[in-house]
Amino acid sequence: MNDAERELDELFRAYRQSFGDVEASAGFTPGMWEKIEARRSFAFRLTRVARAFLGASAVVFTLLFTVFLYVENRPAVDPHESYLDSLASAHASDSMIEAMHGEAGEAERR
Amino acid sequence: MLVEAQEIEKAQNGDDAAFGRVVAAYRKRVLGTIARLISQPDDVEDVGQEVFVRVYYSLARLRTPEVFEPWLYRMTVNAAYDYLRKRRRRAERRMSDLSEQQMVSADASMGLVRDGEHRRQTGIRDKLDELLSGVSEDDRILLLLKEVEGLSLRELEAVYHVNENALKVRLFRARQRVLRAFAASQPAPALAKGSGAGQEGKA
Repeated sequence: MNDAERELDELFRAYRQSFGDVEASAGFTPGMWEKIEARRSFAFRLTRVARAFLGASAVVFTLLFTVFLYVENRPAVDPHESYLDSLASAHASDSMIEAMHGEAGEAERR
Repeated sequence: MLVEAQEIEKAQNGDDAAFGRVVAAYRKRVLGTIARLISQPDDVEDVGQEVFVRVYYSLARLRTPEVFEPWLYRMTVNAAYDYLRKRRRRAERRMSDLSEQQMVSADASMGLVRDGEHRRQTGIRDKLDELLSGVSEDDRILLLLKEVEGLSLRELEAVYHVNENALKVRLFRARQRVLRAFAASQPAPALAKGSGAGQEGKA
């Protein structure tokens, strides 16, 4: 270790001593608790706003999902279709044929 | 440890009285460290309060009470960093607002302040602050923790979560830089007398 290094070490030591003991003032602890409380109430407000936002988001999502399901399951309507075509497409072709056969059988029996 | 591990556990579980006792035990040490890191006596308590507020809200995340002390050092160092960053920004703004005439009178008033009974101590602080201004903020704090606070490499490893060899390299480089600045700041006769200092300058 050369002279400069020794002197630098001495300067570091003197620097430490120059501050002495640092004592807290009487207001230190009360001030700290005030800051803790202030931050706690801010965090509380933030949590409340976040919860309200989450709740509102859930309601909106449920509504949109219900509307989506309704739209998806509704039968598609062709605006150029006639009333009879609509009726025919609304009923399965098998049941239409059965109905027609049923009516024809009744007429023969009569 | 200045308090029992159980006390820290109680504080972790939300016992405010236990937290108060932890603060009372570590207050002096934390304030001393902050004073030496920020070198600004008026703001030491504010930064100290900030440290303990952060500790209060993060204590639950501490894995085990045994690592409380290095963790507290880490919190202290981080709060000091934040303070120094803010101070630098404020100082830059303030200096850019001052005219040359105002700068001269600001320097003069600083000179008057130095005439008080703390003149020698202020001189030492200013000298070291000036030498440390040649290294980065990170290295400045690392050097102070090692050389002024007296933390061992193992303790620094726990504070920084960096391996010992990497810390050694950083410390060596920072110290060499400060040493060169120190040698250069010495009066000419001393330089001539100590040939080592001259060689440092060339290195």
